[in-house]
Amino acid sequence: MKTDFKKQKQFKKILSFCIFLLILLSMGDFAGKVSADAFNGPVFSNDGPEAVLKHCVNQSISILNDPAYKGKSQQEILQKILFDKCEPTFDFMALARGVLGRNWRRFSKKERNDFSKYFSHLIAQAYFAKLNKNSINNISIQYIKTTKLPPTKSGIKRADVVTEVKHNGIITPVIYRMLKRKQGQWKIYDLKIEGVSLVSNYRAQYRNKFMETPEQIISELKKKVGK
Amino acid sequence: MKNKYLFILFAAIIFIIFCFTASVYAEDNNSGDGLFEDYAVQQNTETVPDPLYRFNYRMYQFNDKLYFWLIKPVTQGYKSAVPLIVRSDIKNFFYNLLFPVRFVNAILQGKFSGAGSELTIFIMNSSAGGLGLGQPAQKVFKLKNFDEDLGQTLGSYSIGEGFYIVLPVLGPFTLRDLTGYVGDAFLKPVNYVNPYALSIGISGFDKINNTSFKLGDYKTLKDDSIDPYTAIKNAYIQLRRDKTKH
Repeated sequence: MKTDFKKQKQFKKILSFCIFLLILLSMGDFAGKVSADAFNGPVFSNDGPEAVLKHCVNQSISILNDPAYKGKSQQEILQKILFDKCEPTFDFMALARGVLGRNWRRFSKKERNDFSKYFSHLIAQAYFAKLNKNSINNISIQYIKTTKLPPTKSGIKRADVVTEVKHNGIITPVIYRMLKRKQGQWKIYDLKIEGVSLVSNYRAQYRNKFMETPEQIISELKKKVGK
Repeated sequence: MKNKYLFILFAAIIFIIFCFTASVYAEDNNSGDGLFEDYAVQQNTETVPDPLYRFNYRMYQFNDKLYFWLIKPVTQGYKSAVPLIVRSDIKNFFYNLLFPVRFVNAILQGKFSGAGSELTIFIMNSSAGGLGLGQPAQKVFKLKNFDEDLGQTLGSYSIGEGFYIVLPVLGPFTLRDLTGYVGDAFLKPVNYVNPYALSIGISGFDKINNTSFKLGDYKTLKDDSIDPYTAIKNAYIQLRRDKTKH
């Protein structure tokens, strides 16, 4: 009975964790087979979107499989390292802009930076915090295809990377929307899990906040991430 | 008994008429760089009106309490007592039973190959799969399910979503999807079980079993949102729109 309870607890962790993996993992069936340094090479600015995504995923897995970060006491450090490693793969400024929608106009440059910073921590908190090693080995990720989207007028390239995450026989479609500015690599600026866009969802929530000042919005977010 | 069904059907028709007439709010949208330009198009229709907000909000609170006080503890107990394989089989069994809903709606949408695929899956899983407990059709023969329902069918006929409504226990709906839900009830074998109490019991069991696969998801969604009510509403509408599109 005791082991059952333990198993159940573990399984629960795996489930919540699954959501994190939706962000991170994207392609191939590489559960536990990734060696620590095979994928730690630099990302080249001419790499395609799926290559960049794959790089981020593989790096995260190698960190998670690193015995140095086992144990509960290492959890916080592990999360910080994961955040630092994944951060370059996200364009949090574009993400924040999409999330704020028309509120964006009311934010000063500094407020935009602050908002984007805290929002990145909210995302990290939502997905990285539930992280542990056991969860990865139960999940397989299938890379389906990459769809090119029309570039913006300002010449930013865009693409959708379509993947499927399989866990306990349940398949969840996950689409990463990525952008590439003239300088720099491909970066994620939205993701759709089962057709639900993260940016659209938060944008709907912030749309109701047009009466609040940017300071109020930022301080509320700050409280939420506990910083 | 027959009168009751007629009444439900009548209510459904009224709902549909409502859907036709209900307007959709337009929202202005700007997010520079054109990164979210296609979102603007989406956004114009993304807001489903919420005229019953006060009622809906109460129902949201009710469902929230219902989840944390009843459904979650019951599901936790159930989950620790029943191993994953068994729960998986039960889930498959109930999913197989909903074949008529998927089949009929695939046909109503003119997706005949989808309907064929559903029929093959049903026959295969009901026999070789052992009353639908296993899913050899999907696992061995790689057949794909077509998760169609009447709400999606109505959507494919360009019928508007109407407004947002949250019901106790059943959760969020748009008027269109609620209409579909009522209509689909005729195709769900569970609803023909007698007595009525047993039918509800089976549905409840199905729900607990399903919830055992996503325990914690609701809390995560709530914890990570700025405004949980809107987050749930938006997620529901996006999910339904995505399903209707495919």
